[in-house]
Amino acid sequence: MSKTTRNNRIAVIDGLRTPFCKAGTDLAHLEADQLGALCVKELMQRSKVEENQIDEVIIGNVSQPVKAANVARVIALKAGLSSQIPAYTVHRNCASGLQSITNACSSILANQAQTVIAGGTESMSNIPFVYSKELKFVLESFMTAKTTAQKLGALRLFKFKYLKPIIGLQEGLTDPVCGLIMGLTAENLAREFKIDRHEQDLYALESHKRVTEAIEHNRYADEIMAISDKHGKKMITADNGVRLNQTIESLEKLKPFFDRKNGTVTVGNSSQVTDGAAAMILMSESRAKELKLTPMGYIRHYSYAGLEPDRMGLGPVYAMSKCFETSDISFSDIDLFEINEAFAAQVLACHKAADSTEFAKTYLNKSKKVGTLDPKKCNVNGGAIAQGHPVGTSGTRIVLTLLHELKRQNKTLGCASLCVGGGQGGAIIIERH
Amino acid sequence: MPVYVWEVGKVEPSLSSDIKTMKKEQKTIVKKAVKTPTFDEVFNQTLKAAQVNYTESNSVGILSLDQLNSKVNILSRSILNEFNFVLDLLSKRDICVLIIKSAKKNQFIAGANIHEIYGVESADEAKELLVHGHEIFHKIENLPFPTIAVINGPCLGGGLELALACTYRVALIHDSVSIALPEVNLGILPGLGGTQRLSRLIGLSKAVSLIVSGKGVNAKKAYSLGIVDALFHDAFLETRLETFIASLSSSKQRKMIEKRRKKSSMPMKVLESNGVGRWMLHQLVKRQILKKTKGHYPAPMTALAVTIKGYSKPLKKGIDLEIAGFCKLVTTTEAKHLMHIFLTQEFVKKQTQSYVVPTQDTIKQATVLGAGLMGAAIAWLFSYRNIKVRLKDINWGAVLHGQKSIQNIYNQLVKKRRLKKDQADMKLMQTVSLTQDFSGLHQSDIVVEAIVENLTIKQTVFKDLEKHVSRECILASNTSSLSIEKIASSLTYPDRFLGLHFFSPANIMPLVEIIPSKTCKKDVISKAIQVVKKMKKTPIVVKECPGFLVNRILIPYVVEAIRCVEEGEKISRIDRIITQFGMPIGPLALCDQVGLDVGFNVAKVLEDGYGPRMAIPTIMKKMQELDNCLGKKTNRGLYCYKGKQKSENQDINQFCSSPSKKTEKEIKDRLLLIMVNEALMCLDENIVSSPEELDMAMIYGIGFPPFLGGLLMYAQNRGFNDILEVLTQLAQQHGSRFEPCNKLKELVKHNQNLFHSIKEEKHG
Repeated sequence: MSKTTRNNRIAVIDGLRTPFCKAGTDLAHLEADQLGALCVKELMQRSKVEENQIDEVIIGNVSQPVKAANVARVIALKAGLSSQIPAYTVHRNCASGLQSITNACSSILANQAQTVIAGGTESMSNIPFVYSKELKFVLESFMTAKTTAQKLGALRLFKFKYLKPIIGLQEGLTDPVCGLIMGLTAENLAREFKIDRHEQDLYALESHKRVTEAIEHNRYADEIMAISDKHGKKMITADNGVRLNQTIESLEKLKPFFDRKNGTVTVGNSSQVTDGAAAMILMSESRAKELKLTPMGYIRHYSYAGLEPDRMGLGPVYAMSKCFETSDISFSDIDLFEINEAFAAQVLACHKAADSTEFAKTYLNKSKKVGTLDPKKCNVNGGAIAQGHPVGTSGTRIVLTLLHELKRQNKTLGCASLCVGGGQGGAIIIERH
Repeated sequence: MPVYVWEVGKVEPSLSSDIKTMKKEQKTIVKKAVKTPTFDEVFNQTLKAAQVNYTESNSVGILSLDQLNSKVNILSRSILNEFNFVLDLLSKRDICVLIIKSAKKNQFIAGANIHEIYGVESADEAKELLVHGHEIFHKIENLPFPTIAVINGPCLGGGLELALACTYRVALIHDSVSIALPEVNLGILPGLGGTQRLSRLIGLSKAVSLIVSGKGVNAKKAYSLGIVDALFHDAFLETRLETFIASLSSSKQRKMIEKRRKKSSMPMKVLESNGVGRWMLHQLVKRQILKKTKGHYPAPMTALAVTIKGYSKPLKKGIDLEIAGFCKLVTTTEAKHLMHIFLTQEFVKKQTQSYVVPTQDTIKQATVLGAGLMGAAIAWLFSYRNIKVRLKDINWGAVLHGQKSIQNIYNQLVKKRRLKKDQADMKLMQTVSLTQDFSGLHQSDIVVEAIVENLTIKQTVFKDLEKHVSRECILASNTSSLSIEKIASSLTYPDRFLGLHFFSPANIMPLVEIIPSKTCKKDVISKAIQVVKKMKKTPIVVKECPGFLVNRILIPYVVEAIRCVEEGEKISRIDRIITQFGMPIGPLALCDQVGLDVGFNVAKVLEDGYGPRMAIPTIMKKMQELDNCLGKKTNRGLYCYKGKQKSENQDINQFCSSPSKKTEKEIKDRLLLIMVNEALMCLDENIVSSPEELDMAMIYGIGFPPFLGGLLMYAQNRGFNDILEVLTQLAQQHGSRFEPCNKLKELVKHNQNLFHSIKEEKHG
């Protein structure tokens, strides 16, 4: 693989996201397609890019709404975009929102498109409960039965236990290969890297503190659009996941959620289940110059990597390693990092693994460690533990947040990375100038 | 072969030359035809270029109508004459079925020629016109083979009557298909058998509701009513029509079609089947009509009577009744006025079209500033017509309130089944975006401002706004009273500014006054007219003056009504006299509806602008000081409102003189003639370019009764002499505000009329 250079950067022209709201709260009335449409509609209103310049819409989404297959297309049309603009949905679990950006980059680099809207959407409030297979069979035989006798026969197969629903959210967060729910993969990492409960809780506390500070200084205001609540009485203008007065004591009171007896991962030191959408407009650097647009920044390089599903939380280390290897930018050049906080244990494990030469030798087949992640450069405005993790959206969100923070600190290079359920990692390098 | 005599029809001047050449051709044809009367020759050689074409294949004849030089087909004398000619030839033709269709895409027959009907001066002339038409329709009905009308677009009035004379009717499933007998809206009734044939076809009660309301139905509804016998998609028309024709050979099938037409509920069948039932139906519908028309419109009543009385008689007798009813109506002043308005509408359309310059740009994105009721309704108009709109106010609370108002308007449509819930939600999602700052306005092609009526605030807002919009963006103010020039003066580029005055409630009222600033560019006016038309509203271009056109004429009338109250007249009596005159709402009730504060502010602007003529009476000032007395919105104004009940507000009595009773004539004269006087002044000052536009504006803007033909038409009918006399008298009694204007004096002096007499108009 040849190394990337500055010559083929992709410009991020504009980006916007909805507020991130805990599932079942302020945004629960909106399905994923509606959230996405509101975001894209407002993005297009605010952007100087015109509708007829858009060539494609790519949206990442994990739990696709049953009523909106290919949710990207539904979003594009509901946002009022021309029916002539094609759209497709991408899915790489927690990195879906990043996948849409990188797909856009690929399309633009391959001259398949000039300008692309990329984003992510997720309404975790609206992930449905599913009937069991057994119940589906009973209902099907009942509906296809022709005579009353056949119908009665079909009903005889019914058992009350079939009524127990399958919770879509829970199924979605469980790895079908290793059979572990994501929280348990985090427990694996906690044990592997000896990260105790206290360390995790401290990290969670820090995340809340950083988000609180960012909100106090209005650092998120530029990236968030307002959405009206269910009754049209109140405008939601900010994320609602953060606990402004979070204390270590209250975090310590929580019981482990995934491994009730011996675990360390609690709901307090895990990311929140959240609704939200984000979108950005991407085009080649030369096109941006041609249209006299001022980009927020540029996508310089990206990589995805795979690893064992039950250690999926280490994905960022694998991905970053690959990303820096194939780029002319080195780890030490990076001014700011965003590592999506799926679990405190998982982020801390990434920090330790990246800093370990032994890890690099054993798992990455490299002689040198990936690099030391300085907490002062990492997730400076907090992360998903306090803000929430709408799975399909987070990828776009961390790139957006990173772009805004690079601007605020007047820094040049940033790297955003996510762990991906199923044992993958994604990393992307952003350049502001 | 019957000898064919061409009648010199009264045709539109634009067509006359074509028709003349055609006539010459056809005269020679007839001569030829007598010599060598073979059918094919006549058709192949001669009628190809004409308005009625005939082709034939597999013994299916197709007669297609294609009016020359017109987008639509209208049943005028010329086309009927051709029709007659062709029918005579066809009657001996050996074909198994005749299809009657339109050669124009999605246009069937949009009715009869109103110019011709308007030109009818006597009952005898009307009768002659109708008898001629009936002869032709009778011929269609009595052809030796069945006929099928293929309705592929608007099928109105005479068009439907022609289709009803056919044996079968089929329609396309298409949005353009609209089937109606709208004659009552023009003060007449369907005179070519519509009342008789429709009621015999689908049953009395279903027919009555269509005839009396004049309302249109779409293809699906027409099918379920039984007016049409089959629905086809355009793409499969030919094959489906073939199958339909083939199915007609079975008598069982034919019976099924006939049975389906008359399908109606059991009680209705019972009601229609006997004299007593029909009498009951008559009384019932009569009451409904009276409630709606308040007795001002005779046409629905006559149409009803003719339909019901003719139903039990043989068709021939029924048609005689119908002709008698038509002849009675067509010469009434109401009919003349309603037809005059119909023609005026066309005139006004042409008039505004003269401002339109051809351009490629259309308005795709709008912004509305101010999310109050007015702003929200304007935003809704954009949204409903699929124009993206950004609704801005100064805080989210106000913006959300506006969004709710838009939603409410959509909900009303959903309730009326004009729109499905999903469609409404989709429109809202696709087109409406919200903001509390100036973000995202750079894409707007037009910004309509509907914020508080305060000159300084408006000037500041427009100044700020200009920094955030493109140079090409049109800026419009929905001010109802402030000076357009003064607002324009705050702008860097005043050449893109104009007034766009909607009437409340903007989603319903059909009028929009367009007030260009002095320097306004032509293409700006043109685009504004086009966007207003896209909203399906009637734009009228008005020159700037305080109050513009409608409010300038309306306010003196409302103020005069309040003066009458001040002089001790009963509030409800004034309103009653005026509504009896035909206005949809009394001036004082209107005042409450608009809001006393809003009305006062406009009146103040007019007082400042026109001086003592528009002086505000003291009672209005005193009422402003009353607490919580702003009209309907506070449940207290000139009336007190309690639920649906309203009673006169007794608190006002303290400002009034002791009760005194004026004559009805005095009240009417004072209120109406002050309007007439002001309207003539507007005309004199060229505020509006024609009396037709002025009348249209008053009908659309304040609901001036259409049966009177408009405000100035009313004045002309009353006689300018009489008006001058009464106004002079009123000026002596009540002050100089009644001083007759120069225009009036001039009209009287030269014995002039504002509107051409009917004959002139028809040709001019």
